[in-house]
Amino acid sequence: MAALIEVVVGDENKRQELLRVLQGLGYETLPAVNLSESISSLAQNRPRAVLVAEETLETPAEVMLKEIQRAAPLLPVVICLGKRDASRAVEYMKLGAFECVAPPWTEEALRASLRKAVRFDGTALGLSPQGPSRKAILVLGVLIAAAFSFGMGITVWRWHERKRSMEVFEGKDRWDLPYAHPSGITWDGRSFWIGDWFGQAIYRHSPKSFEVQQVYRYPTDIPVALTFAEGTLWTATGSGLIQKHLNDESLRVIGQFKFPGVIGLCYDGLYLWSLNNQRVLMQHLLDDRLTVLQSFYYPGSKPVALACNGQSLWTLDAQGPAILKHDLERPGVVFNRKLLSLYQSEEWRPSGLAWDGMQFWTVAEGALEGSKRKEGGRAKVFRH
Amino acid sequence: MKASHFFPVRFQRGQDSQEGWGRLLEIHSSGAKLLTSVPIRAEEEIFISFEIEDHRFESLRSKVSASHRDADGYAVCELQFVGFKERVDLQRALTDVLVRRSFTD
Repeated sequence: MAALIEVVVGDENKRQELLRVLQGLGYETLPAVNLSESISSLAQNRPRAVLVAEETLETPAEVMLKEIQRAAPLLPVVICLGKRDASRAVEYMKLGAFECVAPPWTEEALRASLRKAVRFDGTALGLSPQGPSRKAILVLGVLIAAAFSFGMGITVWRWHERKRSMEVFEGKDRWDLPYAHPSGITWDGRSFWIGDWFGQAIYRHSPKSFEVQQVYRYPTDIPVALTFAEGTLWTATGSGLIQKHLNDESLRVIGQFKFPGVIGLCYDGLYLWSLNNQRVLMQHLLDDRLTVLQSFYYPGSKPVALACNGQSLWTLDAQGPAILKHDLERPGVVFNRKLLSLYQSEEWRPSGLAWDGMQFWTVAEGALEGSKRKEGGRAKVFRH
Repeated sequence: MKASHFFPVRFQRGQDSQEGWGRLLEIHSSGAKLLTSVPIRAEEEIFISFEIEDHRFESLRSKVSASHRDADGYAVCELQFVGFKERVDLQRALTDVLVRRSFTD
């Protein structure tokens, strides 16, 4: 059976031309004229590859690529370039495009790329045309049993890990920090990272006892917010920069982008999000310019920090203080607002929010001054 | 050690020719293996540009020591880097990347 390929082209003539070429190459085709038609068609028809014609669509090809990857993560996307441009092709491939094809989009130009793309389909688990042999059935049975056992093992292990991690924290929901002015917190899967604006440093903490594992000095600027995206640390600074760091001993800066006033950063698995003190939420593409794809007005009062759990955006608002849950597609809409009761004493001022995969964490500065300051008023991290 | 993805690469056959692109299947300080849909013959000379993490290499002069077509019609080319300085720079960059990766993994 011929492989099905989705062809996303805005221009009618070019779409027909490409459909004819693909049919000439022996593929079944599935036309789409825009992003929404493409995405809805992916789920229904499950094509083996997608062809996106650059410069014929209202939506930029970078966004098309990201959204298709979000809907179907392993589906190969081939970009048909509007004009021959190797730098642009390499940029698309860095963003995850399977291949780029230069014009003219002829059978000759597309044959090898499409052939390679449709063969990118994972392990085949089919029955042979002659019917399965007893050996094949046995092997399949063993594989299914192994997969089932593996799945059960993973489930039990995760349950055990969760139980163990809860036991570690049993009865404890707050820890003192050995510095006074935390400005943000994030989780990298193994440790918590907290910025200290006054001490101009970033601290890596153990997740159980919160002891400091490593200190990274930040002498030239003030860390205001931090997050991990695609395994790399990103920080927002007091001088109005968003910075990308190497994960080396000195957290060397390898990229800087001017975005003044940012007070919160988070990564949703696809896009970087920033929130600034002008109450604007921005969705960024992780490209060479940190392109802003969309901006939204923040509907809360006093934004302090931003976090993401993969399904929703969450903000920490000093008014309350409260945690706000936002729709990831329309962040201007608040689904839920949860007051944080432990901040009602006004002993601490919250300054950072993180999600570790199971629960929220906040960091806070002591809010009491002078003689009123007591042990409980020191900087802390809280588990929620 | 393997990278999590194939590094994209662009290349030029000469000063006036159009650029092509592909991916590096392997790279070491003296050469690389290039996969591209552009037909390239053995003994050709090409100039390749690519980035490995924060190290950028522009127009590395490379000789195609062998080339064959794979089952899909792509060219798989064995490249040998010609310039001594470029090889030293690449050696340093690869050492840096490998040390850092072994530190972070």
